[in-house]
Amino acid sequence: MSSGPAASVIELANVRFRWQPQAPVVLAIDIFRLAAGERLFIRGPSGSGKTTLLGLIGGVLVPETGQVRLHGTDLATCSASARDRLRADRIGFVFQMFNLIPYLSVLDNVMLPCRFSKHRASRAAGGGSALDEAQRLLLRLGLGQEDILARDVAALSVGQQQRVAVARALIGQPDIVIADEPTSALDADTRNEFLALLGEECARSGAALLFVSHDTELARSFDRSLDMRELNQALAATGAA
Amino acid sequence: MRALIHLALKSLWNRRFTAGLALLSITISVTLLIGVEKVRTETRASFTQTVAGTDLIVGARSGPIQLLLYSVFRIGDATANVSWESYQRISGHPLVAWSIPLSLGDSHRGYRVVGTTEAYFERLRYGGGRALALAEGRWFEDLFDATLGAEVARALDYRIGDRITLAHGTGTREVLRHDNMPFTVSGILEPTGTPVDQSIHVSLEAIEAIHLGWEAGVPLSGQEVSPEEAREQDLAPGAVTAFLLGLQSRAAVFQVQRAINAYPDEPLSAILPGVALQQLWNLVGVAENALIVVSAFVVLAGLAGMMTMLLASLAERRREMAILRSVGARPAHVFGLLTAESALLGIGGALAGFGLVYLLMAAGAPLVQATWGIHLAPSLPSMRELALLGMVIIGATLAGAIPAWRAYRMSLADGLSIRT
Ligand SMILES: Nc1ncnc2c1ncn2[C@@H]1O[C@H](COP(=O)(O)OP(=O)(O)O)[C@@H](O)[C@H]1O
Ligand SMILES: [Mg+2]
Repeated sequence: MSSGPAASVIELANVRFRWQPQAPVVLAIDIFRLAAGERLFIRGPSGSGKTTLLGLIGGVLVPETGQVRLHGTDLATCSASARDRLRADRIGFVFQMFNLIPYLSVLDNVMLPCRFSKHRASRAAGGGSALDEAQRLLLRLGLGQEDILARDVAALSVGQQQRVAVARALIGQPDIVIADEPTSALDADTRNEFLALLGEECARSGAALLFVSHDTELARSFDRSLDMRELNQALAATGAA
Repeated sequence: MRALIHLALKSLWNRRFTAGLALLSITISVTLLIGVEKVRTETRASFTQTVAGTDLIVGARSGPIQLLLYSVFRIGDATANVSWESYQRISGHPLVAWSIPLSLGDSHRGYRVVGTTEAYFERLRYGGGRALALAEGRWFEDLFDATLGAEVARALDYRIGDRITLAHGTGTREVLRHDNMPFTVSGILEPTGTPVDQSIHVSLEAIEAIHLGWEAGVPLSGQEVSPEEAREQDLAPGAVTAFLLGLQSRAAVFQVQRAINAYPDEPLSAILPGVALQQLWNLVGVAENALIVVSAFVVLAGLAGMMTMLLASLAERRREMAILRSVGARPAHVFGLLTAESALLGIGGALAGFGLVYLLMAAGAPLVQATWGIHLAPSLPSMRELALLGMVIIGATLAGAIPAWRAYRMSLADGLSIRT
């Protein structure tokens, strides 16, 4: 908590990233900040570096220069395993589609973060058990029915799969939920329903929501929105996207 | 760790068809490997048990292995006999505690006939010093009594009082038969798990009697002798094929052996059965090792099959790896998941193969006993077998490390982006 207001959960400063040493810089962000509990929308066309940015925030990728801070901790000063632990403890992810591990049950998928993070396992257990918490979350997301829980995850509709992914992102109350185009595979009705549910549940658990998509229409449901073309200077430089 | 094993098990179950095939090939290869090893050790144990109670085996001069095989295991034939005088002289040596003469060369429906004395029944020891025992009837007393080994009686369904005729020679074709002098089954021995079970025991005099009127191994025409006539004749044995010696003290074994090998009247060989067995094992060791090497290669093939299965699954599992990374899995976890899967297949295959060996041994033991007289006891796994199992499991884990390493590299390169 040494720099910046205590209330920011993510801070980026002067970040440069390239996939290979010889490849061009794909991401150049001078300043970026996500406040605790904030709901931020980042729009940007495909290939503009949205997923790459999320990888940097998750500590899965490491910038060439600059700082990525999670709760004031500079990820560059952490070991790889400390970054993995931080990600497990602090962030819940929802991806575009096929979010679920095909060979695990719905409940096992939801409880997956608890297997990699003691922090989230103990928070999920709270007064009762992590299993109860998983069931409660699924119920809130409209997936309480016994037959859904018993089903093979591949047999769920895409909308249902995405809601299971949200339950997984939320279990154990991480501070940040990161959603990478989670609605791209949904039809209009399901999409709106999903957005409302996601916003509501993040607010309820107090998590900040970072939502990236190429679909500009979605911006309405968020506190603030950013455009990748403004945020990522690498795009201007190469004229890409 | 527990999380990974849980994931690995579910993942294998999800791909149970291909994983099952990989498991099957490991199981079969382990069955072969452990089976070869087990048969090897059990055969040795069985042979060692058979000769355990005998200090020296004496026969006409020949190689130790040959003498051991024809005298005790009834495999092959002697080249020459030992004269009765020499036998008597050596048996009377002050350091000799007991002696069992063996007169071989006849058979009955493929089973060897052993001409011997009461000493065979009283002195022969096998296993941990166990003596022979009768299941039924009595040891032969009359000239035309025969005492059967357990397997002979079982296989040919003989009872006390049945009449049998012997054949000259040891082949199964029975060209020349001693039809004129039938024997009566007087007793049946308890099973021993040694070649005794495959033998028909008669007196030395009986062997003389059935060869009355024979010259140079064939009956002389017109000189057929009836049993009644035989009883009237002098049946004192002229020679024996070989004999077993027990000494007053084991310490005297080399002294007696030297004396017999230097016996002036005829060329004799005295062998220590344990030493001869060791020579036999050295001889067959090459073949055994070849078998072990072949089975080891079969295990390698099984592991390679499993590795192929895991490598082939990687492309479709790329997304799964990215998801695992997103929920906090380290690259090491990705590596661990795949190695855990291969280790589980290795452990599963090793245990199943091991179990199958015991099952097959239990099922096949009676047949092996009947055919070769080798007693396959369901023994506890030896250190060597456990070491082989350990090597299979380690090998499986190492084979899994190759796909695991690829998955590890892939998940590092992919980050959270799911590229297919
Ligand atoms: N794992 C990767 N290895 C190499 N290049 C990648 C990888 N992932 C993405 N890229 C490249 O980085 C750029 C940004 O991609 P990405 O962050 O996935 O964009 P978006 O999520 O906005 O569609 C693209 O040019 C893409 O080809
Ligand atoms: Mg993307």
